[in-house]
Amino acid sequence: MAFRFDDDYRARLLALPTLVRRGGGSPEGAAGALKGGRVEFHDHRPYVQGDDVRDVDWHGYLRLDQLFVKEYAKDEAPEVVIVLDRSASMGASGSSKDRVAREVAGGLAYVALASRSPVSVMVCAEGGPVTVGLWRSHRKVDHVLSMIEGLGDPDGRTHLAGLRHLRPPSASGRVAFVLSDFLVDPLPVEVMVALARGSGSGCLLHLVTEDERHPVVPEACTLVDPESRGRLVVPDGAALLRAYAEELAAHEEAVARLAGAHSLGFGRVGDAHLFERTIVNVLAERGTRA
Amino acid sequence: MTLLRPEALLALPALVALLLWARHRARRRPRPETTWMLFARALERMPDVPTRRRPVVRDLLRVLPAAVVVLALARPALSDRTPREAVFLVDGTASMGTLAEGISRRARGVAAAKALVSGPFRVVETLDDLEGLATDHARVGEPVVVVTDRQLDVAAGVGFVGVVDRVPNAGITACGVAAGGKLLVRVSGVHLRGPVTLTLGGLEGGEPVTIESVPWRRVFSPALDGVDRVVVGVRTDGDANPADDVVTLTRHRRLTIGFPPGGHDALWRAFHAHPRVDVFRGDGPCDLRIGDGEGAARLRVAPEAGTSPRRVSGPLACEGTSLTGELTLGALHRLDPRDGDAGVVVARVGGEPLVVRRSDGLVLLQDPDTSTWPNHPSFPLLCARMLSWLGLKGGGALVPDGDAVLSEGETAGPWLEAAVSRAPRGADPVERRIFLDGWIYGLAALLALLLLKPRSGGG
Repeated sequence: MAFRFDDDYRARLLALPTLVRRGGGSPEGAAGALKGGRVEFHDHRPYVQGDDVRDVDWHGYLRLDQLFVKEYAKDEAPEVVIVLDRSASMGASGSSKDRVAREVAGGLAYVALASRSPVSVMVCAEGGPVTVGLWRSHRKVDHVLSMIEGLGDPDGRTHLAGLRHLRPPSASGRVAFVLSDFLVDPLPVEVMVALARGSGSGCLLHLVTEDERHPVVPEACTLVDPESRGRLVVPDGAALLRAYAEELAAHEEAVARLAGAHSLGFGRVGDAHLFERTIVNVLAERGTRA
Repeated sequence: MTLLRPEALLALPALVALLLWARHRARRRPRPETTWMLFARALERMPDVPTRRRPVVRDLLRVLPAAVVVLALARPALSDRTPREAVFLVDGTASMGTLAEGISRRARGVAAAKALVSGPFRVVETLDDLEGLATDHARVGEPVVVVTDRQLDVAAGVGFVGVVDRVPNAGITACGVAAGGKLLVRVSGVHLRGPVTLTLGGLEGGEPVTIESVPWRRVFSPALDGVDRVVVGVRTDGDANPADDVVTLTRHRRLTIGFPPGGHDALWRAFHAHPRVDVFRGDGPCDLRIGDGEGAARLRVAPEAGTSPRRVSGPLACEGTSLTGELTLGALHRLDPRDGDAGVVVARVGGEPLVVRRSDGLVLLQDPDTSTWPNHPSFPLLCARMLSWLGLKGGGALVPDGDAVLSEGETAGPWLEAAVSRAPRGADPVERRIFLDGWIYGLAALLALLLLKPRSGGG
């Protein structure tokens, strides 16, 4: 059965930009800095491969013998890229995890378009990341939502690693929201580098549902990985759950640490709260940091 | 402990196999888990990966409630079916005392009966109708063996020991009073031939009358005019058993029993059917008064007001010997000592007092009008016994005109060559059971709560 946003969701979207502004956030704020323009100097940062050589501060290089690039305050709204992990671990179609992912993606797109930022949606599925659409006008909100509704069932393995080939941001900058459970081993460090490249920035939205936080596992069962189809015979569910809780906490900590190491934003997404609260918290926190 | 439906236990192995198979299948059924990667990591770092033995033990424990339910379905019960004691109904007539090589027929018969049954037994020596008593015992499920030197036709299933010997014996086999008041005597003997001398003693004249050479095996009728009591004796040479040589006859006198104008219908019917009793309702002199009123003796029925009747079940025993088998009385009153006269218990049911003899008569602690006891064979037998307990029977035998004291062949066994022995079939006794299945169902529920509660899960 195809996924559909209900009328209540669409009605709540209307109030979402107001809630975000009241919370002190904006899509751009989530990038960690208002940057990406070409006129007003904003800050220096170390040079990374792929940076435009025109932004290199050559005077600084002569003084310090290190390459720094200059960042400028933006002069137009940056592009908002919403990267949606559609691997099988994101839950079956219609599941709570899949619903939350679609609702948060739709909410972010709505707020971004309301802020006059162009929005593109990328899907990480079998075969690598694919950009499924780019919208520049708030009038295209329905198109964005229809596209998100029409996304196929999560399937296949996680292909976040393909994001390392993400194209450099445009002059106006780019803010990428990666919505995933990051259940990939190892975590793709090079993707974080690509997100922070140039005038781009990003925010990792770590999706963990309540069912995943508190799973119910029989004492003896066989767990199957929906991605790799690997099997795991569990002899003692009670003992395993204790170790699982520690692994989950460590995993969340690792994702948060990875984001912080690359100056990326980080937010926890779940189904314990309404999607508006999740979006407001994520954007407000990043806005405060900015 | 007995199982009423032991075949239910056959389901136990199948149930265990089914449940273990179901558990195995559930364990093997794939369960998609989105965070499988984290589970795999957790499993790798678990310090103590359980061995496969623990789940097996746990599965067996989980089967335990179902196994207990199967046990309950087998209807276990605590039963008092210890080997039911057999009843040896021993002929109480005098001929059973005949000695052969120093051992009486009674002792030989009881020894033969012991060899027929395994388990406990009790000996009941009686002059009552052996066939009827044996049938009563057998009907209530008690194995019964009749021990006698007579040829009796006992019911199917009743054990039988016939005692024979070649001891010379002579005795009175029939004695009574003819319709005209004439004395009737028959003398029989085995392994003995010779002249028989008849003696009539206890006559009003004082001197005994001796009659020589009375005929064998034929009714002999000496004159007996207007005599109320006579002691009849026979004498012959070589007689090994003198106990069956004397019979005392007392002329029968009918008893009168007075009843109140209403009530006591069961007792009325029982005494009305007695051949030697006249009953009437109302006031007037009588030998036995039911309830209060004028009478030589008194029988009170369940008079102990204020006591709470209770249900009693067990064999009916009179003066230490079993009268009949199992009897259930729904409302037996307690014995209430009055004026220090506790009386003597002469009949009990299941060990509880049923009839008490006091100085002024008898107390029957159960009102037969309120129960089905009168339908039981023990009721008329007990009523007849009550007459003798009240001393209304007098010494000797009550002999109405035309009645014989002893039937043909009663004192001298007709078998000459072969003894007869037959084991009692002993129908399954009605046993008292305390069913345990209700408790076991409760135990199964408790085990299910303890063993089957979810031990892992979120939240």
